[in-house]
Amino acid sequence: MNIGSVIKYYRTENNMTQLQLADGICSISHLSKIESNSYVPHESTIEALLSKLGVQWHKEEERHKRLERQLGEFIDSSLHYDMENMRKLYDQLESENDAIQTTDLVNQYELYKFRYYIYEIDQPQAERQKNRLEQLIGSFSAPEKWLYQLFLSAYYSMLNKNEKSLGCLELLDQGIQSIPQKFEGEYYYQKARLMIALDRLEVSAYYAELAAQFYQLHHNYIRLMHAQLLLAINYTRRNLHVQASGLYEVLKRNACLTGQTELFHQTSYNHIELLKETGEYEKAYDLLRDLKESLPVDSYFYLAVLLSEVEAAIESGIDATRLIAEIRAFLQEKPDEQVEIYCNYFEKRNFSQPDLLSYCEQIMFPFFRKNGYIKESKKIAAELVTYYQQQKEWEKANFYRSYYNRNGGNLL
Amino acid sequence: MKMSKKIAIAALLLTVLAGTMDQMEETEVKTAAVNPTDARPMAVPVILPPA
Repeated sequence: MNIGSVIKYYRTENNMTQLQLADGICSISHLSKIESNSYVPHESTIEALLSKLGVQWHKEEERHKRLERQLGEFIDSSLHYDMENMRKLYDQLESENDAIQTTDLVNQYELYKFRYYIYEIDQPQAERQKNRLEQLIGSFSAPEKWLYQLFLSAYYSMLNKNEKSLGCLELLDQGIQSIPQKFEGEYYYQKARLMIALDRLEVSAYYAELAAQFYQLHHNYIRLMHAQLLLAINYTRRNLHVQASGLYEVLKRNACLTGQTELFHQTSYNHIELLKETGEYEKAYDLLRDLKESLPVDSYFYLAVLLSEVEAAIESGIDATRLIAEIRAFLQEKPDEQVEIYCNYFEKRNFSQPDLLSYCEQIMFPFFRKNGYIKESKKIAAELVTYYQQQKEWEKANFYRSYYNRNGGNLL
Repeated sequence: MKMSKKIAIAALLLTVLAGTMDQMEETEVKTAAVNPTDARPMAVPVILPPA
C-alpha cells in the first residue's frame, strides 16, 4: 500500500493544498516527495499528516485487504467466464475506483477492467480503457505486460481486426516459456479462435484441443464449452460431420444445463450450419425460425440468423422475398455494409440474375478481403478460379488461385 | 529427307502437342471443379464463442 498516494488522495478529498497540510509538520517539497512515493517519511510525520486529514491507518489497511480480495474474485470470475459475478464485482469496485488508484492494485484492476469490457463487447469503453492502459504501461511488471498483449489480442479479435490480433499473439509466442500458468488455457483459446477466423483449420484444431484439455484439467467448464464450440465449428468446416454433430449435441445439452443461454444460441446457429453442409436445408429452415424467436431483434446475431434463414429458404425452394424485405427494413434503420452485401447476394441468387458472379468479383471479394473475412473471400476466390478456368482466362484464374493458396488453401 | 516429308512430320508433331495441351487444360478445370470449398457457394456470417 502506497502511503504517499493515500495522503494525496485524502488531501484532495478534503480540498486542501499542500501548503495547508504541510503547515507545522514538514516542508512543501518534503510533502511533495512523500505524495509521489519517492521518499519514505519518518513514522511520526506519517502519523501527523494522517491525523490532520482525519484518517485512521488501520481502517485503510482493512479496506486494502477487502479490495484485494474483491479484485482477486473479479480476476477469478474473468478466468471462468462468470459474467454475473463479474458484473456485480465490477460495480462494487468501480464505486471505490478513487481508493484503488491510491494502491498497488491499480494495474491489475485496470487490466481486468479492459478484459471485462471486451467480454461485454463494449467497444467505446474498451477503447478508452486501452488508452488508459497505454499510459500505465511504463509501470507494468513482466507478467502484466504479457497479460496486456493477450487482452489486446482479444480486443482486436472483438473488432474483427484479425491481422492485428495475430501480431499481438505472435509477440507472446516469443515469450511462450513465460506464460503465467493460469493463462495457458486462455492463450491456447485465443489462438484457436483467431486461427478459425483466419481459416487456418488444422492449426486452430491443435490449439482448441490444448485449450479444452487445460480447461478440463482446471474444471473451467464454461470456457471448456467455448473451446468445444470452436472445435465443433472446425470439424464442420473440415467435413468431419459425425464428430461435429456429436459435439454439438453435448454442447447444446450442457449450455442448457448451465444456463448459458447465449452460448446455447451460438451453438444452435453453428449446428444449423452443419445441417446445411449435409444438405438438410428444410430442417435448418425450421430450426432457424425457432432460434429467431429467442433473439433480440436489434442484434447482429438476429440479422445473421435472418440471412441464414434466407439461404435455407432458397435452397428448400421456399419463397424468401418476405425475409429479404425484412432485412432491407432493418438496413434502412441501421445500415451495415456486410449485411447489405449478403442480402444483395441472396437476392441475386433468389432471382437467378446473371450478374451474380460479377457482383461476387466486383463487390464482395474486395469487401471481404479488405475487412479480413478470410473464409468468405476464399470461397469467392475458389468460385472465380473455376469460372475463369472454364473461360480460359488464365491470368485471372491464377490471381484468385494464388490468393486462395496464400491464405492456407491448397487449390490446384 | 524430302521437304514434303519434313513438313508432314512437323504437322503431325504439332497436332499431338496441341492435343496434349488441351487435355492438360481440361484436367486443370476438373480439379478445381471438384474442390470441396465449392459445396456451398456462399456461407452466412460466422458466429464464434466470446473472445
